[in-house]
Amino acid sequence: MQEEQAHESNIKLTGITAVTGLVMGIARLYTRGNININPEPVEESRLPEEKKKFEQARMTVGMTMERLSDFADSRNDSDTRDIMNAHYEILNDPELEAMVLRLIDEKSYRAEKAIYDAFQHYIDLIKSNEKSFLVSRLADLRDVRDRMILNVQQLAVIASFGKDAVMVAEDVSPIEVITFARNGVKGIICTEGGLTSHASIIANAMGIPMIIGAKSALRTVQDGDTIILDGFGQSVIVRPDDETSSSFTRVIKWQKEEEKFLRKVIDKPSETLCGTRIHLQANIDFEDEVLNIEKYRAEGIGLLRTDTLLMNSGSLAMDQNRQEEFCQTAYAGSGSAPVTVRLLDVGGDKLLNIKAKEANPFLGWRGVRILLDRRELLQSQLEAICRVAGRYPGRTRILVPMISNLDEFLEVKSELAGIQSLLEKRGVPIDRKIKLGIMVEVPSVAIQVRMYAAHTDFFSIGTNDLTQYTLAVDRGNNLIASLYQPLHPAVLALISMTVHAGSESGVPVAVCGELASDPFAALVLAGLGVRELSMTPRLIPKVKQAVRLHDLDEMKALSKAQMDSSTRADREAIHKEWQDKYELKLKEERSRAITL
Amino acid sequence: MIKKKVTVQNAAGIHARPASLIVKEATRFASDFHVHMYGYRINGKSILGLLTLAAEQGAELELEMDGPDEQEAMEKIASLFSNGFRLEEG
Repeated sequence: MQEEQAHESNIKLTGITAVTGLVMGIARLYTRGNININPEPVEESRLPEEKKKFEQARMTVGMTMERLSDFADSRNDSDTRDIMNAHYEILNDPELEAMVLRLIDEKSYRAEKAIYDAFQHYIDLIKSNEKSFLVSRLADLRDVRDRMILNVQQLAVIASFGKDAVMVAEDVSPIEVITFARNGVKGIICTEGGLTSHASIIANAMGIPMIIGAKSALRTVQDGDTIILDGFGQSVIVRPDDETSSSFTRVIKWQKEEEKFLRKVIDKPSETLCGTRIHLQANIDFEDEVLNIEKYRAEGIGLLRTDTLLMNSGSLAMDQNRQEEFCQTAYAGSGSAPVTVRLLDVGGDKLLNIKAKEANPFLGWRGVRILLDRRELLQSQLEAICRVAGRYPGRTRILVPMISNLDEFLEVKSELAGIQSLLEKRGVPIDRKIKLGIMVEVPSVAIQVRMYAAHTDFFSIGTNDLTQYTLAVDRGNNLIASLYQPLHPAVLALISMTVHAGSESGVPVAVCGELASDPFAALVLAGLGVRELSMTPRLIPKVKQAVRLHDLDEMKALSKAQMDSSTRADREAIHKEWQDKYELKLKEERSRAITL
Repeated sequence: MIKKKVTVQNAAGIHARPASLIVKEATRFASDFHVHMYGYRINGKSILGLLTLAAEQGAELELEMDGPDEQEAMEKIASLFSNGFRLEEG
């Protein structure tokens, strides 16, 4: 039966859209294979890359081990937990690390060969001790070794796939998504996976359509099959017949024309019909995205997230040089525009060394609360930012997340002043005009915003958390997903209070939550008086298009209607009415573009 | 720098689980930690180093701790040996 199904055409699988879009390509099954060591040395210029591969493999494998260990622990399976913990220590063995790096440096080995030989050194040592009772336990070492090598090789395998590849996998890691993006992968289909996983956030940023939870995909799809990933229909079509494939080809063609039409707006100014400037900035998570700033003409960076660096380091200790490098890349990639660097905004749960589970992590130890408890982390971040700021004077804004009390902000301010004077004493060039701002995401800040305005250089509103805290809705909880409404009048009231206080005291107010990337929401926010919106760069053209086709009065009317709405049905009606009108406007614009 | 002699008490010797307990405990401290046995000196924060010792029940080892928190670190590690690497539950 399964055999038959394997060759049947036009099979439709359903899943959940993590990143929307529609693509047709060649399915590539992404599974774990056999290990295979290439002993040939590589050119010297490639050695840093080999070292990076080793570090990445170590991190990815380590995360898996920790998950397995936690899982075993939750089932009171202490044997598995102990084995996993031992494997974790082997993986992170400092002497092993030193030996692998030495082998890469001195013998120009590829990462997999260096890993293999370093393990072999220990295996031989243990074997050479005749009375060793451990010989029978060498499986542990071999297991860790093979997991690492497989990981290194997978990264190499991806690079060999063609440009039309649509990956089909059980689950993918953030690093794998970045590697997919670098190799031009068209789409990703996973049988597992979560909407808020870091992998899907990165796929979204890189514009790779992704479907998760397509349960039987690995059983149904064969390597090399033609496959359609339909993010709009939350489905995957395997081996489409001619009719299906030509109808999708038409849609894809139409979609490409849409994109072309949208691209025309990229070089036009971002202003309303009546000429008011709305600054559209970029949210940036990692280095590969920096190129998108120029590509989509973002006016600087409204939110540079530094959290990815921490995830890559896997512990609370962040490498200051890596932070500096990341900031440097971001500044260099954004012309002379301002760069807003947000200090670490993670919860305790993201820090791998800290196992203590909090009952309410979103109301717990996170953002500035961690930074003030771990001063060395705060100081190292501030120092990295200040050093780069000194090289690009007048462009830096530092954003402090999770402020709920003024004291926290004042403490960070004095730490910043301390670091600046320390650097100055050491003769490092500094920027005296660094701006320090508050992230408005806890309602207490919005409620007392006038008081905060006297102390801050700018405000930036984080709409995701502000919505979550105002409406008491965990946005990761499917049971209450419909209650998560970022354009709820209560949330808008807090935003509006912030904008008013800002304009009274001359403090700029930006919105850096992903909400700003939705054209309707962007118009509502502009109607409330927000003039800076920051979003994933590739979504900028769509928002700019909407901004350019409305005047300020229309936007004000939209936000007033939205704020006056009582029920969800009211809000849906407002949205529907706007959408119908907007589609007409777009149609006119399109026909004008053709006649011109 | 301080040194202390300890004896492996548990029947199974220093296999993977006890070795990982030692490393886990030792990496919590800033002090450098080395283990001497039969003239070998290995990094006590390296699980692979500990495993190559193949220390069986009754084996005598010398622990060497060097750093700002050497006293506390030594106490913690030595007690792992004296209680036979029984993991305190909870």
